[in-house]
Amino acid sequence: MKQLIGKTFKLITLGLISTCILLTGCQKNSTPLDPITRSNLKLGTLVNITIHDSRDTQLFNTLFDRLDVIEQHMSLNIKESEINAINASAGINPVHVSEDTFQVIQSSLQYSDLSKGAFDSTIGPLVKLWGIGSDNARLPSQAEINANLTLVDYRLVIINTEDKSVYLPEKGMALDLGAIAKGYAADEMYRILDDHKVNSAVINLGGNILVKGNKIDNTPWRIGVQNPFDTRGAYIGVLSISDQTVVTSGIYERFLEVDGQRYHHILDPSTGYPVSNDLASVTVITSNSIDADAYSTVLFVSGLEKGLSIANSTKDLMAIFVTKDKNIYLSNGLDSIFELSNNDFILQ
Amino acid sequence: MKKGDYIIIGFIFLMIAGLFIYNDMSKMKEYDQRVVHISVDNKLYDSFVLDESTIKRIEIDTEYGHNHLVVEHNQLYVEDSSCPDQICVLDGTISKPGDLLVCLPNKMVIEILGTLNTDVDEVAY
Repeated sequence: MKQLIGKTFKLITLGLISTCILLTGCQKNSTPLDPITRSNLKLGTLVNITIHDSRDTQLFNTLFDRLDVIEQHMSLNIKESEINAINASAGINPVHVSEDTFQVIQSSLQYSDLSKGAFDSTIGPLVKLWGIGSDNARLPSQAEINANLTLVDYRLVIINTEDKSVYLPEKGMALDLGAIAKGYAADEMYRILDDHKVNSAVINLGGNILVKGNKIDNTPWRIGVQNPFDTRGAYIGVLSISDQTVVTSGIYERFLEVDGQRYHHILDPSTGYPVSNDLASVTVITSNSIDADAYSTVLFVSGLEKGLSIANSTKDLMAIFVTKDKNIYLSNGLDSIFELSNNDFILQ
Repeated sequence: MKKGDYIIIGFIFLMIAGLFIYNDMSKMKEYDQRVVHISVDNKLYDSFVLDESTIKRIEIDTEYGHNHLVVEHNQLYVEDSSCPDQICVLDGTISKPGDLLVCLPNKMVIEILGTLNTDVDEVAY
């Protein structure tokens, strides 16, 4: 009997040890249902892509390589970018650019035209003057603003579709694609995912969300809408969407504070100052991310009343307006897909 | 070996199998161990488990700038940063899986990994 007890202890000890070894050996085993995800800093922002119906992690390289190319072409922060080449040659000569840069510039001019200049892709000189979000942010003088305002006019840009060249006729003019390049990039991510037969994925380009298809259980994605008065990630409500994009423009993103006065980064091309109206943020829901990106700026600059009427009269365009006094206005069609989750806000 | 020995061996094997199943189930139920990932210029800088006992002050000093991260009471925040916009400081504290603190000028990303809160898939900001 004593021998049996001794053996039992030995066996139990052995059992426990082997259990420990086996258990530590199998931690974090991924199942085929786990989504794959990757984050990277690209286009001056945090990009996160999550794929739910494929295990092909090689695909991330294709996706992020494409973002690198877009950044190389269109970033103002990269010295040799095509956009900087165009700006440096303002008043001197036209510059030949790649197909994608040309396409984005062409679209940006169409949005500028469509919005009658509420959105203006030649806002570059003013963005640089204010420098909001950069090391050189400062409150410029009225004289400086006036001098730079004359350089902001999308109607002056000369583009040649034959040889894909772009010319800014006045010295000092500058294109800034910051308001739509991310949208274009998100659409490109969607296209690549589609080419690779991915049907369930989320693209997050610094808060611009583009969802592909449905969730793996075939229900719509649930996307939170940022609370403009709270920290990033806090949301006022939830959108249920499939194959759509959500982009928000708000006064909370980047700003400069001088003598207690806040100056946010969305500039009004007609005054040269940050847009001043009742709005705290505008969230746009549409099919193409480049549209969403452009329209979030257009609607923000236009203000609540005009913005709502633009949203309601434009096909495939929905928008959520949040005012500084915490009222929420929805354009047509949003009732069924937006649910308010924060009771500090009042749905009008 | 006697009959009793076989019974005991069988019993222990059952226990081990049981432990496996329990471990698998509990993993599904509370795979909410939170792991903090800090990356600078897309490269992993530091990584640690976040729980009640995690108390840390991390000085993230790189060629891109300086961030001072404080970890306590189950949450973390950037106390000060060399960046001009101070967004990472203004963003306040984070604690949930999926939460982020990003400092673009310093190319720094702090991310809490773990089970995502099931309420939303993403937040558009």
